[in-house]
Amino acid sequence: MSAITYFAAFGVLAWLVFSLRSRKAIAATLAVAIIAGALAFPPESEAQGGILGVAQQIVSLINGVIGNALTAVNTARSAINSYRQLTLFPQNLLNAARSQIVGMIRQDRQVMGNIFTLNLSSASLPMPQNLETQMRGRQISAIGGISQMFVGTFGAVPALGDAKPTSRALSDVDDALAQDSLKSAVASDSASDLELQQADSIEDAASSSAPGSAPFLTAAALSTTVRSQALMQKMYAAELRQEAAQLAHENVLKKEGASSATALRQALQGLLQHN
Amino acid sequence: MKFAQTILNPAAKWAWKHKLRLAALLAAFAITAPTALHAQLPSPCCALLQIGLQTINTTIKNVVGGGLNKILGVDQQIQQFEQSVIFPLSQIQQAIGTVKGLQGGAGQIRSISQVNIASATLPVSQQLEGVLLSRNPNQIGQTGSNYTALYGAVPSPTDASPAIRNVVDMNDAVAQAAMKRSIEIDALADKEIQAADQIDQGIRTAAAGSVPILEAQASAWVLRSQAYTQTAVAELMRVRSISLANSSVDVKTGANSSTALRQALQNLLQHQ
Repeated sequence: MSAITYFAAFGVLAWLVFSLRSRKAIAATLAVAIIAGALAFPPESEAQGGILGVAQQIVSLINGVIGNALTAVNTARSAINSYRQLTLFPQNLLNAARSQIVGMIRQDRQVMGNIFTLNLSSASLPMPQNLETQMRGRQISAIGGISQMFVGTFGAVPALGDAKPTSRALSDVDDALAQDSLKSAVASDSASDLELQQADSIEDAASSSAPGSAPFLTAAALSTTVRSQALMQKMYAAELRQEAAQLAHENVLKKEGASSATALRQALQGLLQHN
Repeated sequence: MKFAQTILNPAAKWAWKHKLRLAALLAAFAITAPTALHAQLPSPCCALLQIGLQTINTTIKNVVGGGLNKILGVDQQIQQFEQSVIFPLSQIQQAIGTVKGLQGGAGQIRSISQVNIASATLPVSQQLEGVLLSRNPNQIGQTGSNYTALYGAVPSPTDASPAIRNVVDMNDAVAQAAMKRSIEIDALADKEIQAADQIDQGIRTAAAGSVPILEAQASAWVLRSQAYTQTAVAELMRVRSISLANSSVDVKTGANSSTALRQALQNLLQHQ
């Protein structure tokens, strides 16, 4: 648009230059046209310098801001890389940790296993020996036989005519809770064996694990610990039942003692009155 | 050719005749023509532009491309390190395999924890034992009646001294509370075993980056479980403390009875 306007104006100027006769008039017209042209169409004197300037600015920008930023990013990434490889996860220390696990497995596992499986049985007579074998057998399948062995060793609940109903019930519940605890102990032993196997598996896997795979094993070990704690609580629950039954039994004796004392006191009072 | 001459010759004569005016116009054009017009004409500006663009191109290649290549190199090292040392896929799969292998043992432990251990043979004791081994907190309410049916109630005021009645009542209370606590602890332990199974299930399908979240959850469960264990131990301590106090009561009662007996005998002798 600017070019069309310029050429239109230049055409008018050319017409004037060739139309006018007086040299002064032509000179004046040209002078006016040049001034007007300079004002209307100012030469972009910076154009050539502008292109170079812009190019230089771009180059400076690349060399300066972008180049420096990339260098800084590279420096930071290199530092992160070095920090991870040399400080956080140095290969030699990762290998040392794995070697330590392997060493401890060799050093302790068999020894502890031998200690753990020492024979603790001490009974000398056949029936107690049977009961002891069952209750230390660590076999969940042996639980069914414990009651029979228990009765064989500690005797059965007195027959109906041989003891008061209260005494029979007391004897039965004492025996029952004692047997419950023995059975719970067998169950716990059996579970302990499984937990030890799980601990071995987790430790074996840890000996060849990587920093990124170890958390799987840690989480599994923690959930196994929860399970183990739950079984521990069940043991405590059995112990609570047993201790509570013991206390209740003693309390029954107190109740009976109080009744007997009352009866005795009444008898003595009666005796004194007769005298 | 002749046609051209017929046009050019008069034009040349006209131009020669008006040479001053043409020169003046050309001078005016040269002075006033806008830059845009110059740019369309062959100009040193294009060469400068080309040089500028080439410089920019070279600079981008060297500075930006080179810088990015260095970063890429470091990133590739990081990636290699992550994949081969920190998160090697084979070892992650091996760990998941180990966790899957533990599943069988966990199932067996769950079965063991629910094995039937009931042993009572008489109806009254069977009822109490049934409640105690129920692992059902809803049955805690039945403990008191079953306990009293088996162990009897607190003696009436005519049958025992207030001191004895207090001791007996306390003993019964602690024994019953311990039995109730055992039901509660069994139920909580079952829940913990369920939670451990759920966590294991989560671990088997977790990613290396999400496993620490489950690890944190499992740690919280360990803590919770420890708290329940402590509660059970505290209950056990209470039962044992009351048992110890009972032993002391026996000594005290024995002393009182001896004194009473001595006095009764003295009275009897005085009467005779």
